[in-house]
Amino acid sequence: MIFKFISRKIKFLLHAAKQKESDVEKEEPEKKEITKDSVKKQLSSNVSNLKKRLSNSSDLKIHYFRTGKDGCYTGALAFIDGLVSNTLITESILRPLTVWEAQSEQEPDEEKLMDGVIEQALCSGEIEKILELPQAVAGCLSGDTVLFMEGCASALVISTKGWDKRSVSEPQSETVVRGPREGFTENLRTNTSLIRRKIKSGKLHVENMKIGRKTQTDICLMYLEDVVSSDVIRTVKSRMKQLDVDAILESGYIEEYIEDAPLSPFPTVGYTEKPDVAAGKILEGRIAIIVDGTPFVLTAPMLFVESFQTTEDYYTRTIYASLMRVTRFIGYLITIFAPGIYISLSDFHQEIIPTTLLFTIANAREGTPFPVFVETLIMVFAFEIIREAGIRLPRPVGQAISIVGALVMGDAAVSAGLVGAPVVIVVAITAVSAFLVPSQSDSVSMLRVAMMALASFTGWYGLAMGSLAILLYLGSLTSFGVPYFDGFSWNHNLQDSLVRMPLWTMVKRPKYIAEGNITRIGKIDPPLRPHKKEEGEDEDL
Amino acid sequence: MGILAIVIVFAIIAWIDLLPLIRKRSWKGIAALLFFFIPALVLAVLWNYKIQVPSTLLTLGEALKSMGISYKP
Amino acid sequence: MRIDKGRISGKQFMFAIACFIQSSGLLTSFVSGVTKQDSWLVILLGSIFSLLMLWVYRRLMIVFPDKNLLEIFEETYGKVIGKILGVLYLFFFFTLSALNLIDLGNFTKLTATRETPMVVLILMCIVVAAIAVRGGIDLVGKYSTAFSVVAVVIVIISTLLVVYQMDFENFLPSFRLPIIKYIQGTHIVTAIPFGELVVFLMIHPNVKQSNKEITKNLFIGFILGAITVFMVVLRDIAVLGNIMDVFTVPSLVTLHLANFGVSMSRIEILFAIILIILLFFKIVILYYVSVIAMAHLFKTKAYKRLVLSAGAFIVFYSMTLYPSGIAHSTSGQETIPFLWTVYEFIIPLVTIIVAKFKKNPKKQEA
Repeated sequence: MIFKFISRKIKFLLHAAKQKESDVEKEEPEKKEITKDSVKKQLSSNVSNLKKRLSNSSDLKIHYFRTGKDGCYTGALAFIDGLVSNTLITESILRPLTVWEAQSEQEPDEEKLMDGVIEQALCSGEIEKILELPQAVAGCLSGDTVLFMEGCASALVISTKGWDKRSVSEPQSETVVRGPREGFTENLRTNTSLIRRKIKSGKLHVENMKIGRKTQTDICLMYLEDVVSSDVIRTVKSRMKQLDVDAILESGYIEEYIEDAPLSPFPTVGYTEKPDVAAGKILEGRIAIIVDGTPFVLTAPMLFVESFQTTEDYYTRTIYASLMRVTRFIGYLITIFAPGIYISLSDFHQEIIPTTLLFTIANAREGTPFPVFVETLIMVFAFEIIREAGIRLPRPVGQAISIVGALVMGDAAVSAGLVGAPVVIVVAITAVSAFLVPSQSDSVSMLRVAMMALASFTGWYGLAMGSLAILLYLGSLTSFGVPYFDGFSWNHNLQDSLVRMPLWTMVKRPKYIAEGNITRIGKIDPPLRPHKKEEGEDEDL
Repeated sequence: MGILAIVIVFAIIAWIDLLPLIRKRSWKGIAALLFFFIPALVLAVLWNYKIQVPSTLLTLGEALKSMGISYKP
Repeated sequence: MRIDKGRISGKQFMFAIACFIQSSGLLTSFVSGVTKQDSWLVILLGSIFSLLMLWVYRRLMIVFPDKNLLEIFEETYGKVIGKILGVLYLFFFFTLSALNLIDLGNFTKLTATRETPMVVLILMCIVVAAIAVRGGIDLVGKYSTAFSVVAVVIVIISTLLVVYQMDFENFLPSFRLPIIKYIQGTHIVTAIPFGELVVFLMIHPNVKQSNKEITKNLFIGFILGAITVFMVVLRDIAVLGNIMDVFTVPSLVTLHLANFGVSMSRIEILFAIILIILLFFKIVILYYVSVIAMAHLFKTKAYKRLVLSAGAFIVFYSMTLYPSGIAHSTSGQETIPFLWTVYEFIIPLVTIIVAKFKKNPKKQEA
């Protein structure tokens, strides 16, 4: 019976493999459901068709009007209330239509009529002529107004977008001490304009696409044509074009769909909420992916060192910036290894701890019932609970709960003898250092627990093996073809990794990411070099 | 207990490596894998029951010693 | 090159060789058991003889630039003998991997975790090594550079720390042992740490280097490694004298004597960590070479799929090799060097001679 089961499973796998092979060659996209309804000549049929396609929603407004000399032509405007700016409709569509003096003809040529409307009557800048109703529906849903004329088998889609949007403000997730405080908003055009204002180059290429069957989310790719690496851009574009999903609600969805290694704990696509960060990354040859509806802009590819870089590093002094980089890196190491090191020290290698500290730790461990691994695990888990709850808390309750958390988890647990005081300290330092590298903070929690388990198993040998495993895994990870962790190679990439070399030494763009135009700057004299003495100048005394 | 661990470990190895090879039908790869998989399994089971396996190096060493090619201690 | 498409640069090749040799800083007990306080002389002589062996390897690398060792055998001796030699070398590579794994296990058991069963330690090492081998040769090449440099730095630092404990009288009495001991010592040094470089003949097709660079990389890498080992042995003899052979790992005892202030009394942990890492890389290279040899003999390109089962085999094979540490060191001092010399020196030498003869008649015909 078992054999039958196994043989059936193997047959199924073989069959599935064959199937995969046969349709891995061609990936034909599903034929979309296009009922090719074109715009008809009768106004009423167009309007009722439109209503039906929008499931007779009550916010679809139809406005009939007459235009031309003595109102000879009838037409209708269709728009969705709330998505349009009423002023725009009035000023740029209705008012000019009402004063348009077109002659009535015996057999009005529809082409000439529509062209006349476009060229002579309307005052709007973005007008598109369409022949099929699905486009009209898409236009309505995007906030455009659709104009039908009686007797014309074409319609116009006029841009009249105007809805409530958030103004440009300081992002809450990335605050800086020095630097611009603008942040992206949920509106695609605002975001692209924010980046355009930073990079005023003709080579900045903006490319639109709509992804998501139900959401039809607008997505924009921005990159510098002469700098970006052609392999990377080709990979990104092909992956995005293959997406045939129901919904794209946030850039996180796109991130998961186009990543090189979606199951990996390390993020290979970066995100940011600030335009100057995005502009900086575009200038280095990366691609920015802007998704309508979210202020988080993706940047691809992303390297490991980027988690330690913040834009403030470039605006503050060199030495201080380098020190902060090193601090962040040490913080990252602390947050991954500190609990593991504590466990291995107190379980396996007590000889290393200085004697006085040893007494304290032994004292603390005296009354606790659990082994060190369980203690540390409880505290780490408790901290994760507090962190997650803190994000979801409604604001009024926040203060009270944080006091409870601090007292209960910290003080009371120690006094009750559940955990030892050193454990609380270690876990506290660990938890706080996790926020030094915000983009890696998710992966860090998992790695930390893995290190703890390894350490409790075999002491520092387990830690050494675990860190080797992480290093090797990082070494083989790629982000869109670019090696993720270029750890120990001595090329110009090092200038911006652990230390931040002065700006006038960073002559080249990062390897693998930038293809053309490798040199960033022209010749710059480092400020310490004395300027050439002019004729007749005396030497400094 | 030990046997269970051994079975699980070797089953995992087969799952990760043997199945893709079967899917791709590369008989040579499967042969190569089994050439070491089966002896490994055998040795593992023997180790679990603490049966001594004669060591290749020690036997070779004895052979060399009997031929006189070795250093005296 | 046809099995693994990865490429590493000449410099990474050089550092991989250096890394390989430096890890033998752990194995000095093999030699010091025989020659005690004259071990430094033996290492020096061993290095010189190894340079001779390296010359043969260099010749092979130049004459057959794109063929790994097994392919060289098949081309020089024909398919049948080539395959037989391939199987013999497969056994050699696997045994080397297993032996180094036991060394790692013993060392770790000594320093880190006394109670954990050996098989657990070995299994953990092999699992991580499997990650490295599956990543291909370029993954290994990248990291060996960094660790080699770190190893040199640590050796220098540790030597400086014990400078005040050194006593040059510990080198005496010199040259008092019977000649046979020196020959044995040199033989051991040449065969066991240094001669294992023959495995790099399996990797060299993957390296981007010209003929001139081959010489440079090979020799500088070797010299870098040999100097590190030499310094370690010198330091140990200077500090410990002729009671060296009592300790299983003399270097750790040396460092234990270094007092770096009240709070850091266990500097040897640092040394132990870097030795474990270096030995780990040596195991990864040997493991990789074994898997490539396996894939080559079965004429398959899917070497990544063979990694785990080869690893399982190595683990359990290593458990069968030696019942105790004493058997290990006795065998290593008495019989193994002869066996290894055949693999590392005699067969490559014969190969290069036969290859030369094969090419010369062709030239004379044309």
